[in-house]
Amino acid sequence: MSSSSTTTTTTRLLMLKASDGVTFEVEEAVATKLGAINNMVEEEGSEDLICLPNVNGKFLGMVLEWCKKHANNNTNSDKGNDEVNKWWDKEFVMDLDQNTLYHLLMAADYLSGTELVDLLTEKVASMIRGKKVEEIRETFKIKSDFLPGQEEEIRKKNSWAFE
Amino acid sequence: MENVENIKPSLSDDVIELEILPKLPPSSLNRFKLVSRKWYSLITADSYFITLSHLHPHSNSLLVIAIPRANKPTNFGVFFISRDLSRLVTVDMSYMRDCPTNCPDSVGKINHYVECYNGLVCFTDYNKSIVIWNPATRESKHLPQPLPTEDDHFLLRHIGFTLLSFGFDEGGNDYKLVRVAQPWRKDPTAQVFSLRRNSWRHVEKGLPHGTVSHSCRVNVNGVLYWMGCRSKETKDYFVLSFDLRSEEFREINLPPVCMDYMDDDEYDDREPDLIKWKDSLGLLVHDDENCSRYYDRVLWLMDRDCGPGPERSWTKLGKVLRKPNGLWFGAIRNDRFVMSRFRSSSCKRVCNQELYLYEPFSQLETSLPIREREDICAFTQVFDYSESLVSLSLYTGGEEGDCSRFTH
Repeated sequence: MSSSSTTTTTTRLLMLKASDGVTFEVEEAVATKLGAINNMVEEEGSEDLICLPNVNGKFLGMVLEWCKKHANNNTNSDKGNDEVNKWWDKEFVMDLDQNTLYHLLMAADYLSGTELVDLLTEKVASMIRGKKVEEIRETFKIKSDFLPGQEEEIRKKNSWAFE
Repeated sequence: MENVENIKPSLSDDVIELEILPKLPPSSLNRFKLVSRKWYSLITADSYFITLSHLHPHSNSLLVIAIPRANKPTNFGVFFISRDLSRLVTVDMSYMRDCPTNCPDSVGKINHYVECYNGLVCFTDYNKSIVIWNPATRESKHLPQPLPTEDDHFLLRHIGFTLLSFGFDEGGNDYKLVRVAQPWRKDPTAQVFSLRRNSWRHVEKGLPHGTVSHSCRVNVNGVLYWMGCRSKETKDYFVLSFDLRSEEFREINLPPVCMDYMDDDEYDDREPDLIKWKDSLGLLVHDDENCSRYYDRVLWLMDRDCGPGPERSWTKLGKVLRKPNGLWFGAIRNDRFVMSRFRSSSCKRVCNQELYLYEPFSQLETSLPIREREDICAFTQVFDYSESLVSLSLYTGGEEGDCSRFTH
């Protein structure tokens, strides 16, 4: 008990500044859940103010909310906590609309939040697994670059996959 | 100021290709091959991507082999049990040309399914063909004929006279099949097929000095294991291992167990069994000390990191378990044995065999809702199966010519 309270008092506070100027004051232990921030902090003579010109405040806030939850639970890692985290994660991604999900995913990827990227990409995968080829192209803005006739040839050869 | 939330975000290629796609099941990816040329080559020919995709096992199910009834010629007797274990799904094999499929018309033409590993199924007919097949991608490959051996009478090719075992050599990223000829002899010969080399090779090192048991084989972390016996009279049993990486056999001594109860010649159900238990090699034995009833067994687990010599360290699990007395297929799913038994049935036109899961410590049974099928005579084999994109032509150098065509 006493050890955890000393950690809290000695922990360094970081200021994170989003692209739209919104700032967040976060404990170092929370922010370093993100690989990119961890690297910056580990560099010598790093400042307490970190500017993140590629991340909008709304999504940075959400990313940090996730970090806070997972940093807290890291201190006493037992099985029950694992379950709570899983349940929390499920709630966290449950009602995200596609735009928010993608913004959040790009932010998490940019900040190297590996576990969060895993959680969000799992969600994307579950959303697209039943989609048609055309829907996938639209979702990911991919243009078909098959030569004329190639697409039909593959489709014909693999017709069973499209049943 | 522009509202960022309304801008349609686009994901980077890395996130899509390395993080999202590998989390999709093969059934989706088979379809998504058509999205673009890049996706096509990723899904069909990129071994790094295929390995990534394998880290996310999807659609775990059981592969069930049955003897079909003669009046249903389109049914080859191969089924999946759905992931929730509620349904039996017929597997289409009709697209496999020249394939020794189970033909109900000619008696005895039932294939022997050797093993199921990383989504690849290895099977053979009773005569010449050995096939590796990926049901998820519909790719299959006939293996070349095994090397001739000294007294290779045609009868000895019969599966009853050889011992086949299939597995994955992770270090060499290769699938291999081992064939022990005449395992009932004291000094059997053996050869190994490598998918990468696409050829057979004689195994010289460490051949056993004893007979090797058919029924008892296990595949744990790239090593195949069988029960071996030097002398039934003296109850001199051993474990024979084959390391798929080094292609060497080794003999391993059993833990100290007393098996004085067994007769010398007659078949005794209390002979030791090998099982794969929670990623370790397990030995099920009846010992006089702990087992009062005929089906009582003690489970010994072999420690994973003990040297290559014959003496290994084994740990005995404290609890005595009860071996099920039905037909055990060797498959274990979530620590439960996949079993079958016959039930009495008034109707002769249906399969009266039922499948169930058995937990050996608590002896709890879970029956699978697959019974009284009209298209099946009997279930013969069950394997743990999970879909995969593993591409056979990638290993043998793309003989199909299909994979790289669209990428340039």
